[in-house]
This record gives sequence, C-alpha cells and structure tokens, in this order.
Amino acid sequence: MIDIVSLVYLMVCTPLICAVLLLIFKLIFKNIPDYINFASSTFLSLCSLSSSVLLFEYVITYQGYTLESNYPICVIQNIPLYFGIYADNLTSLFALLVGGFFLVANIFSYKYLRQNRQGFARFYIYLNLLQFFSFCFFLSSNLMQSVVFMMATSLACYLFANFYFQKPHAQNSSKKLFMADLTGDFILISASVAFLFFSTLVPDTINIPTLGFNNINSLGLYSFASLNPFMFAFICILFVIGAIIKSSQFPFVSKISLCSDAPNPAFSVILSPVVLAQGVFLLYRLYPLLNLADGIFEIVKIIGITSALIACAIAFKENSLKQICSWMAVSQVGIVMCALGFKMYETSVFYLICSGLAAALICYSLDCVSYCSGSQENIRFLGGLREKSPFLAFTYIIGALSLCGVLFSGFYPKTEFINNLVFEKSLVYSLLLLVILFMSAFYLFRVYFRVFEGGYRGSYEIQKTSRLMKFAILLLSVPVVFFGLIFNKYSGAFLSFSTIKKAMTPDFFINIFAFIACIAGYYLAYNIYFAKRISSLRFRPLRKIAAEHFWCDYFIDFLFEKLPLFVAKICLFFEKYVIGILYTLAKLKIKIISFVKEKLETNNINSEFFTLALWMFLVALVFVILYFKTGVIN
Amino acid sequence: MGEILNIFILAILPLLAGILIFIGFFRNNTVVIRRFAKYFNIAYLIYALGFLINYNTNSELQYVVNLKNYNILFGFDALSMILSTLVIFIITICMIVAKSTLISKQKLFYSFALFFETSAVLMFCVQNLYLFCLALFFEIFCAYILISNFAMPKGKIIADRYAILNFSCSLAFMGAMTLISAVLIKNSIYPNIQNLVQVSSELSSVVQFLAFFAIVLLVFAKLPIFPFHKILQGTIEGLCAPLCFIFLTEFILGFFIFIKFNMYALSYVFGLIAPYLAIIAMVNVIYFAFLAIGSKDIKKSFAYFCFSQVLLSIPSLASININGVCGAIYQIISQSLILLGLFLCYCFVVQIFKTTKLPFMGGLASYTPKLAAFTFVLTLAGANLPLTCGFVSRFLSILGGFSTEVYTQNTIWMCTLFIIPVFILGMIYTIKTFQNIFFGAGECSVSKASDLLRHRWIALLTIVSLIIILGAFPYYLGEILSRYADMIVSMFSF
Repeated sequence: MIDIVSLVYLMVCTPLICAVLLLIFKLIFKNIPDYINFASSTFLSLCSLSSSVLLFEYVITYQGYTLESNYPICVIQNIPLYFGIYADNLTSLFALLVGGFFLVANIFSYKYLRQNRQGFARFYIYLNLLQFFSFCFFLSSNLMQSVVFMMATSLACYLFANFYFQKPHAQNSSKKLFMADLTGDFILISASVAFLFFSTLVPDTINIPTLGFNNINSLGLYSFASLNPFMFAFICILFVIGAIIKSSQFPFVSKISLCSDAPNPAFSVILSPVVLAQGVFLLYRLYPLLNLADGIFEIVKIIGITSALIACAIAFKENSLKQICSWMAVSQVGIVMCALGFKMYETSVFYLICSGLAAALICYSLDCVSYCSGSQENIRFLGGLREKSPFLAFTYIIGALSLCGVLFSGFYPKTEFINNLVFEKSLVYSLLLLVILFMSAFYLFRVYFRVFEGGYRGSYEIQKTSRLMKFAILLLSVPVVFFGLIFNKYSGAFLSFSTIKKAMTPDFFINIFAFIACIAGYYLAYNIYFAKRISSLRFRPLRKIAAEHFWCDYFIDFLFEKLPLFVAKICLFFEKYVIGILYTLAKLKIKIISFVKEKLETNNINSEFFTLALWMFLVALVFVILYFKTGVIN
Repeated sequence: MGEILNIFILAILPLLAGILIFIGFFRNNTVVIRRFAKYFNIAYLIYALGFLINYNTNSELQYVVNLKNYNILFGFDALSMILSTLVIFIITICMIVAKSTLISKQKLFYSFALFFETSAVLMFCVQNLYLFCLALFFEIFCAYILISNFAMPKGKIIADRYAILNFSCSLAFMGAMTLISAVLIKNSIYPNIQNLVQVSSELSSVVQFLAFFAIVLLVFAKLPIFPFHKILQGTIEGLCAPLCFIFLTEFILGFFIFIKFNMYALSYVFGLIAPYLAIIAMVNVIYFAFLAIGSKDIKKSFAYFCFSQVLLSIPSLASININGVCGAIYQIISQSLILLGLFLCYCFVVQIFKTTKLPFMGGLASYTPKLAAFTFVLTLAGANLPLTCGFVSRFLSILGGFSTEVYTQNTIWMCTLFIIPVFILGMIYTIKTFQNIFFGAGECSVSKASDLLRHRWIALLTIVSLIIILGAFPYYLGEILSRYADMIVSMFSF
C-alpha cells in the first residue's frame, strides 16, 4: 500500500515523467501521432489530479495535521538545500487547483493545436514541465525551493511566450518577459540568501531545514531580534518587490501581457492563479515574517489597489481578446493583494481562488471564440456568436457574473472583502473597490455585447465549437458555480490560520451598493454596445492614458532596454575617448622612447619591450637598494 | 599511487610532448600531430584528475628535485590542484575544437599550446619564487607566439600590445619577488612561497605594501581592471575558438596570484585594503556589464561580459570569510566553464555569419537547432539559473558578502547588494545576445549553414555536463574548497 507522502511525490513527478517520455519519443520517433501526445499527457494529468484530490481529502480529514517531508539534495558549503513537500490546507487547495487547471488545459489544447498544426509534442512537453514546476512551487517545503521553482516557472513561461519564435513580436516580448521575470527572481534569491544568513545567526536555528516554511515564524522572530530594523525592513521590501514583479503588479502590470504570443491554452494557464499568483502565494507563505515589519502591508495594499484600477482602466480601451484577459487577471490579483495588505488572509485566499476560476472560465471561452473565428482576436471584427455558439455565451456569462461578484462563486469573497473593508472603516478603499467592480462589469459586458451580440462583423466563416473544448469548459464551469458556496460553508475546515481575520457578518446595504455598482457597469455597457443609446464614453485624457497602458510598457522598456542602453552609451563614449586618449598617450610615449633610443644607440636595439623592461627593472632595483641602505627591511 | 602521481612529471609532461611536436618527430604530418596532441592531453587530464581524487586534502603535496645542490620545490594545495585541472580541461577542449578551425600552422599551435600548458601548471605547482617568475615569463612568451600567429586581424599588433603590458606588469611582479627574496635570504630563509607565508607578518609594512601593489599590478593585467582591460579585450576580439584557453588561463592565473600572494601571503595589507579593492572591483564590474550591453560587436561585448563576470570574485574575496572565499573560487571555476562554452558557441556563430556584428545576425535557430540548444543552456548558465554552477557561486558570494566581519562591514554589504544589478545586467546581456543571434529577423543568408560537427558537439556536451554536474552536486568540490578557504581565512584575525 502506497503511503501518502510517496503519493504526493508521485503526483509531483508525474508531469516530469510525462515530459521526459514525450521528449524521448520525439527524439527517437521523429513523427509521433498527435493523439498519442494528447492521450498520454491527459492521462497522466488525470492521475496527478486524482492524487491531488486524495491529498486534499487527507489534509481535510486530519485537520490541523501538516504533511511534511524533506530530502537534502544539495549541500552548498555546509548549508543543505532541501527538496521537499509541505502540505497544509492552503497547499493542498492549490495542488488541487494546479491539477484541475492543467487537466483542462490538456483537454482544451488538442483541438487548438490541431488547428494550428505546429509544435504538438513541444507544446505538451512545455505544458507538463510547467505543471511540474507549479507543483514543486506550491508544495515546496522551504523558501529556497520556492524561489528556485519560481525561476523554473519563469523559464517555462518564456518558452511558451517564444513558442512561435518565427514571429518578431513573439521574440521581442518573450525577451522582455524573461528579463522582467528573472529580475524578480534574482531579487527574491538575494532576499532569501540574506534572510538565510540573518535568521541562522542564532545557533539554535542552524539545524532547522534551510528556511523551512514550518519554521518561518520562529526564523522571522530570530532575524527580527538579531537585525537592526532597517535591515529587516529592507529584506522584507525585497521580498515584496519580487512578489510584485512575479505577480505582474504595478508598475509591472504589462508584464503578463507580454505572454500574449503564447498559444491560447497555455496563455490561459499562465493567467490562472497557479502561475500568475505565485508571487502572492509567496507572500502568503511569508505572512508571519512580513507581519513583523511595520508598514510592509501598507505597500502591498497600495500596490494592489493601484494595479487593479490601472488594469481595469486599460481593459476599458482594449480590443484584443487576449489582452483583455490579461488585464482582467492582473486586476483580480491586484484586489487579492489589496486584501492581503489589509491582513485579510482568508478572504484573500478565497478571492484568489474564486476569481481565478472565473477568469480561467472567461479565458477559455474567449479562446474558443478565437478558435471558432479563425484566430480572430479583435472584438471589433466579431459579433453575433450567441446564435452560432450559445454554449460559449452561456459559459462566458457565468464567468462574468462570478467575476463581478453578482452570482456564483465570486459573490462570497467579494461580499466578505467589502464588508471587512467597511468594518475596518477604510472608506476610500471601499469606494475604490466599488469603482473596480463597476469597471470590471463594464468591460466584461462590453466584451460580451461585442462578441456575442449584434451581427457578425468578420469575414471568416464561423466554425463549430469542438466537443472536446466544450467538455473542458464545462469541467471548469462546475467549480465556478459551486466552489464559493462550498468554501463559504466549510471555510473553517479549508483554512485554519492563527492570525486570519474572520469575515464579518454581511451587511445588507453594503451588498446592495456592490450589486448596484455591477449593475451600473452592465447597464452602461448595454446602452453603449447593444442598445446604442449612448454613442461612447468620451473621456479623452483617460482613454489616451489607457491606450498608453499608463506608461507601464514604457517602464519595462525603460528598465530593460533604454536605461541600460543609455548608460552603456555613456560608458562607450568614455571608453572610446577617455581610454582612447590614454592609450594614444601611451603609444606616443613608446614612440618617443624608441626615437630617443634610436638616436642614442648605434647597434639598432629598437625593441619597445626592451626599453620598458629596462625602465621597470631599474625602478625595482632602485627600490631594493634604497631600502637596503636605509635598513627599513630589517 | 603516490609514486605514480608525481608533480614534477605532471609539470614537465606537456613540455616533452610539445618538444616532440616542435622538433618534427611526427614529420609534419598534421593529422598525426593533431591526434597525438589531443589524445595526449586527454590522458594528461586523467592523470591530473588522479591528483585531485587522491590528494584532495589541504596538506600540501610536495616534491623536491635536487639539481646540483639547488632544491626545486614543487607543491600542490587544494586550490592549485583544482585550477591546474581546470586549465588542462580547457586546453583539452580547445584541442578537440581545433580540428576544423585551424587549418594551417598546426605544428606551431599544438606545440606552443602544450608549452603554454606546462608554464601554467608550473605556476600552479612550483614553490620557488624565482621559478615562478620564470614560468610566468614563459607563459607570456608562449601566449605571444600563439597570438601573433593565430589572432586575426592584426595578430602581430595585438600580440605586441599583450606582451608589452604583461611583460611590464611581470617585471613589477618580479621586482616584488626580488625584494621579498632579498629580505628572506638576508634573514637566512629560503625564498619560497611557504616560507613567505610564514614570515610575512614579520616583514616591515613598507615592504609588504610595496610587494602587494606590485603584485596587484600583474593581477589587474590578468583579471583586467580599468584601464588595463583594453589590451585583453583586443586579444579576445582577435582570438578564434581553439585559442580561447589563452584568455581563460589569464583569468585563472590572475585569480590564483591574487589569492596566493595578495591574500594568503600578504594578508596584513589585504585585510587593510580589502574594502577598497571590493569597491574598485564592483565599479569595474558594473562598468563592464554596461559596456557588454552597449557593444554591437559580439566578441567585443563578450570580452566585456567576461571581465564583469570574473571580477565579481574580488568583492567575494574581500569579504574574508569561508563562504566568500569559496564563492570566489567557485565563481572563477564556473565562469571559466561558462565563458569557454559561450565563446566556442559565439565563434561558431561568427564562422557561420562571417561577421562579428550583432545587427547582421539572426534567425539561426531554424538552421542550427543543436547549436541553439547548447547556447541556450549556456545562456541560462550565464544568467546564473539554478542547477548550473553559476548559481552556486552567486549563492555563496551573497552569503559571504552578508556574513563579512571586516572592519568596514557596511562597505562589503553595499557591494553585496550591488551584486543584484550585476545579476540583472548579466542576464540582460546573455538573453539579448542569444535572442539576437538565434531568433530575430532572418538575417541568415547561409541557408545551408551546417549544424554542429561531431567533435564540436562532444566538446560542448562535455562543458554543459560539467556545468550542470557542478551546479547540481557542489558538495564534493565545496568540501575541498571550504578546507582551503578555512586555511586562508585563518590568516586574518578580526
């Protein structure tokens, strides 16, 4: 009988085994049939999901028990680095999500790849690798493992973003994405190593598995006690900056949209919480540590709400389906970060999962739209799809209503968050959240009316939706409808964390306000894009800024392209002229010496080295004689 | 085993092999010469590995050769053993790669490469100060001959410049050695490195300072620092793939001299000026990293990238603790391997495009997938990703930087924090260059560009495997290095 720890290791390694097998098959048999790739990957993904369900059940059954196992895999200078698993309630929940999302992606991708006819095996290898890295990240038992697998995830995202490497746009954006991701990773690694050193200053902590999450609280306290507050805050800020970059928050909000050249199913996985919210997950893990530093959560709060607002404003203006999906995902993660900034741990987790599920449903529905319309991404050339594909319109509506918090799973965390905000007397944040809800409803229904209502504006003949794709979307829509209800009922069993803030009793009037904000967004979109009673929103300055993506694209460009190039130009100028002059002077000196020597000597020893050597030797000799004479050496 | 593993034989073997080739023992048969040199070097590498496996303790392995009452002392410690094996490995790879790259003057190349190898190994193992200087000059001479004959374009000018700088700095080094020898002899002490280490604290501070700065001059010519870098940069630009061992050995020797003489022997001065050295090195690292990003010439930018990467070892050493010293040594080992791999890949790319200008390159991935795959792995290693040896060195460097106990602790901390932008700049350079060459617009006019030949493929596979093995299992090497680092750090008292 296999024990639970072995089962979890098997679950983690299954995608890796699949990727390796597919790679070997690809190398040995050059052309393997597509369905073999699909079937093997989907079957193993199903196995992983089953294992994750068992893990979840185990953790829920033995409430309060944390599954932990560590293997030292590498010892660097007496510092053992462990590969292990740490499965508590939160982890098992995310493992379940990883299993589910990747199963859906596996099923959905088959038809998509059949249409594109490119890189079938390559896609499934990358997908399985990404799943392996995600499992390793979420189940990691220590901080170093988390950061290492975060880096690996960045690599997988880069591979996906550069999947169609013949496209110049894909090359350029994947490069920027990888640079931004690795920057975040390097910051996190540096912070982790600093934390490792400072937390092990106290002798008792040296034997603790290196930066284990089970001891993060005590390690935080040790380092807090042994360090000056400035240094401690600095390390915490580094962690937060790393998480911000990884989760594509302000000012890196446009980072995730750089992935838009990835294949659609992979892009949907990247936008899901299992990849995009890794930074936020790391903050959940480091919660006890960050809680010790003053003001850190204030930064998280401000960054989160700013990102959400900016992403919503950009989504207002966007016409590309993929871009809209990416802004939507960023805005939801922004709200999650804001909730975390208020130290509403449980609400934040709840919101992340519910919004992630809804966003994934919307993404897959829109991917399917793109598939039906011959890879048409622009909503201006779509329309009337409700009649041709009512299933997609239906699933989209489910996702949109859930994401706006009107119905289904999204309703519960939104209510909880807004009630908690009012209870905390954060009026500004409550109002901003209402504004975000209004904006979210507006752009989601704008897309709905543009894509599914009205007449078809494109030239490509609409295809029928594949049954396999429908099945995948259906699989996803079930948790979108029911998860919130179940979680809300059994939240105590799902999450048990000592420092969480419990949700307040919902206030009816507050809920009404939130509902009205969403309905207002819907009504405005309806009047502009369906009933055509209002021509359009003509708030030009905002439109202009939104079209410029609030200069966040420029920021990334500036950081990774323009600034290094500008400084490099200055350095090159310095190198060319200052060093150039120095070397010209040196050459001149050698010429003068040669000239003098030629004049002085008759036996034609005009070697430049000889002269220099002679000079240097003479100087050395003078020094030796001088010091022997003065007796300093004795 | 000890009877077979003899340092004197180790040092002298390549010299004999080189002489055999040089005197025409193989009757100018290029194929035989090439094969002899290659297989000899592989066997020689295995012999050197025997030392590493059997004598990995810190106690110095010693051997004395008595020549007419003049004792020549040979000795190996952990560092010199590892570095000499590394140099032999690099030269072996270069000889494997030389097959299809060097067509003419093969006799000259192989014989002088072997002479160069002898001189480098001699420098690692010889203990007499006089012989050390002799080996140093011989190494410069061999490099001069190789560069002047094989560097392109303007090989002669490049070689002249290289020789002028290195001879000048070596003379300064020799001056320092003469000074120290004179003092030691006056006190009836035999002038070798071990004795110097033992009595260095008793020397007057003026002598120590003078010797320190003279040695640093040579170190800064080899581990190039502003403004000495221009010469080595020109050399790297002119070298082809099989000659890359010259500049890589320069880095390794520079580092070895720095750690052996400046840090170990003259520890008093090093302890005083370590923070200043760290600052100077860090400024240079950032300066070179920016230059690497800005340059449009692949070899030029690569040269700057090399400098920025290898100079990072100095701030780690300046932290003067076990982690820092180990990180620095690991840094030089890992960077030598990564730079070797990257340089070979870039040289193959230059061969395909017939230009060194980056804007004229692009779209090679479709034509040479194997080369693209190897370059990608090396790029990731250059960006110090986990599972590569670069990651281990960075990890230790940062840890060492934070755990420093030198008198200006904050300076070292600041330098350590500056490692983060250096990470990012290095990563920007490697990724941009990789994308530019292998993706980008389809500038590849040579549509039938051949992928890697078998011997190149083997060479790159060996390098990549070693990078991954050292990254995944750093324990074995780390154990040897930590003992050595402990010995070095014990010279300092805080």
